Amino acid sequence: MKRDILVMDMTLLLQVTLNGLMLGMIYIVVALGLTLIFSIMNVINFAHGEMYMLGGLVAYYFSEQLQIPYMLILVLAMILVGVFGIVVEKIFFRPFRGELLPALIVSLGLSMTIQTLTLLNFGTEDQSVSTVFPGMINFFGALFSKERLAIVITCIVFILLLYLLIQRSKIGCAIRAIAEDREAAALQGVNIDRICSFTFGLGCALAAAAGVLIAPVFYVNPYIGGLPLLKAFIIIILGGMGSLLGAVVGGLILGTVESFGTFFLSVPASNLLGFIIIILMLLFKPSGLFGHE
Amino acid sequence: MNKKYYTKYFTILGIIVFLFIIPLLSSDPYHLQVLMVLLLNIILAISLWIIMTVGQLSLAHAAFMAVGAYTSALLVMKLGLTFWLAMPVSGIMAAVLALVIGSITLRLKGAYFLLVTFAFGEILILIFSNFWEALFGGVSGIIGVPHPDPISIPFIPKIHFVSKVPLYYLALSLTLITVLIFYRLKNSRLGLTFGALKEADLLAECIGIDIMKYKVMAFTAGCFFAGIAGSLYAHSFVVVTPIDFSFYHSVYILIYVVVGGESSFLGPILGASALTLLSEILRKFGHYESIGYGIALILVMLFLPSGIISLFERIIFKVQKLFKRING
Repeated sequence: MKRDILVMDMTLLLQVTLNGLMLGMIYIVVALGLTLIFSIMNVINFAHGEMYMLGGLVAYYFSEQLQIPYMLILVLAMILVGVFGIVVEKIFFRPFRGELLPALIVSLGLSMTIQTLTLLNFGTEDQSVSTVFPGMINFFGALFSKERLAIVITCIVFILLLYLLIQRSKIGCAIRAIAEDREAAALQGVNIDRICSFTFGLGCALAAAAGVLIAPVFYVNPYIGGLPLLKAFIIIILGGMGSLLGAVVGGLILGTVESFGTFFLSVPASNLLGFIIIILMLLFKPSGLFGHE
Repeated sequence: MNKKYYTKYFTILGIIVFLFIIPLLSSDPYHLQVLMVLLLNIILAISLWIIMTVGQLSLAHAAFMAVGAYTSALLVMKLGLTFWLAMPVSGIMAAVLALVIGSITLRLKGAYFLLVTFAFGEILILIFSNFWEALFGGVSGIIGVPHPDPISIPFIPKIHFVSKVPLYYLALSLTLITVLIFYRLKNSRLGLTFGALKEADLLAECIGIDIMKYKVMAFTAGCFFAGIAGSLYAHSFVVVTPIDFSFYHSVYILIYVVVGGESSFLGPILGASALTLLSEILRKFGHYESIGYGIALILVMLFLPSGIISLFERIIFKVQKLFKRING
C-alpha cells in the first residue's frame, strides 16, 4: 500500500516535471528573442509579448479559418511577424538604438497600440485552436500528450538552429561582434543597421513561433502576451542579460521551480519563488548566471 | 530682481490661485475626481523624478504607493488611529522599506536596477493579493476605507471630509507642499550632488562623494512621498485593491516623467497633468483610449525626445529671438 503511494507520487512528479519542461521550453524561445534584441540594441522590448500574441492569432486564423497545415502555419507566422518586426524596428526603434529609457517608453506605447488594435478586430473572447497531434503517450507511467512532446521537440530544434546561426554563420558572427562592441564592429565593416533589423525580426519571429506552438494547448486572446513576457524577463535576468546559453539554463530552472512550486505549495507561492530567485541572483551575481558586465 | 522673474512668479501664483478657485467654478464631482487623480499623479511623478535625478530608474514606485495605502488603511481601520497620524506613518513605512531595499540594490545600475525594482514591485503586489488574506483582503483588497477625520483649524469652521471639495483641497495642499519641498531640494547643494551622480557617478566618487549614501537618500525621499500619495489615495477613493498598484501603474508614473521631460523640474508636473487629462479625454472613446495613449507616447518620443517641456523651451527661445530682432 505504502509502495503504491510512492509509485504514484513518482509518476506524479514525473508528470509535473514534464509539464514544467514544456512551459519552460516555450518561455525559453520567447526569452531568446528578447535577450538577442537586448544584447545588440540595449532595448528592453515590452512589445515582445505582443509578437507572441500575434503568433497565436495567426495560428488561430490560418488553422481555424483557412485550414492550412500546422507546420506551414508555423513558418508563415514566423515570416509574417518577423517582417512586421523589421518594419517596427526601422520606424520606431532605430532613432533610439542604445538608449534605454526612450526605447522602453516607445516599446510600451507599441505594446498598448498593438494590443488594442488586435482587441478591436478580434474581440476579447478566448478562441481555441484545435490540436494537430491528438492522443497521449505513456512515459514511464506519466501521461504526456503527443502535442506537448511535439512542442518540446520543436523548441529544442529551434534552440539548436539558433545556436548554429549565431555560432557558425557569417551573420551570427556579425551579431556577436555588435553585442561585444558596436563601434568596433562598425569599423570592421559590419552593417549595423541591417544586422539590427535582422536580429529584431528574428527575435520577433521566435516569439511568434512560441505563440503558434502553444496556441492549441491554451487559448488565444489579445491579452496572452503579458505572462510569457514576464517569465521571459525573469529568465533573462536569471541567465544574464544578453546571454543565449543563460536564457536556456534560466528557462529550465524557472520551469522546474515553478512547476514544483505549484505542486508542493500554490500558484502564487510559486510565482513568488521565481521573483525571489532573481532578487537573490541580482544581489549576489548581478550579471546573471552566464552574463558578463 | 528683474522683469523676467516677476512674470515667472506671477504665472506660478496665477496657476495656484486658479487651482484653489476651481471648486467654486465647477462643483461637478467628476471634475474634482479627475483633478484629484491629476494631483496624486503629480506627487508620484515628482517623487519618482527625484529618484531619477541620481540616475536610477525604479519600476517599484506604485508598489511603494501600495505600501503607504495598505499601511494607512490598516492603521485606521484595525487600530483606530486617526488619518492625520496614519498618513505620515505610512510615508515613513514606505521610506523605511525603501531604505532597506535601496541600501542593498542601489549599487546596481541601468537596466539591472530597473529589473530588480520590477521584481520587487511584483513580489509586493503578489503578497498583497495572495497572502495574509485576513489582513490584506486578497485580490479584492480593502473596501470601505474611511475618509479623513474632521479637523478643526483655528479661525476656520471645522472641516468635514465628506464631499469631494475638502478632499480636493487636501490633495491640492499636499501636492503644493510636495512640489515646494522638491523644488527647494533640487536647488539645494544636495540637489546639485544628486545631479552630479547622474552625469558622472565615477567622477563624483573620485572627488569624495559617497554615492551610495546620496542614492539611498534620494530613493528613500522619493518613496516616502509615494507612501504619502498612497495614503491619500486610500482615504480619498475609499478602496485599496492590489491591481491599482501593479507594475503597469509604475510604468505610467515613469511615462509621466519621461514624456514631460526628465531634465527639468517642471517636466514631471507637466507630463502628469497632460497625460492624466489626455487619458480622461480619450476615455469616452472606449478602447481607442489605449491606442491614442500609445500613439501619443510614440510620437512624443520620436519627435520630442526630451519631453513636452522641450517644446515650450523651444517656443520661448524662438519668441525671445524674435523680440531681440525687433528691438534691434
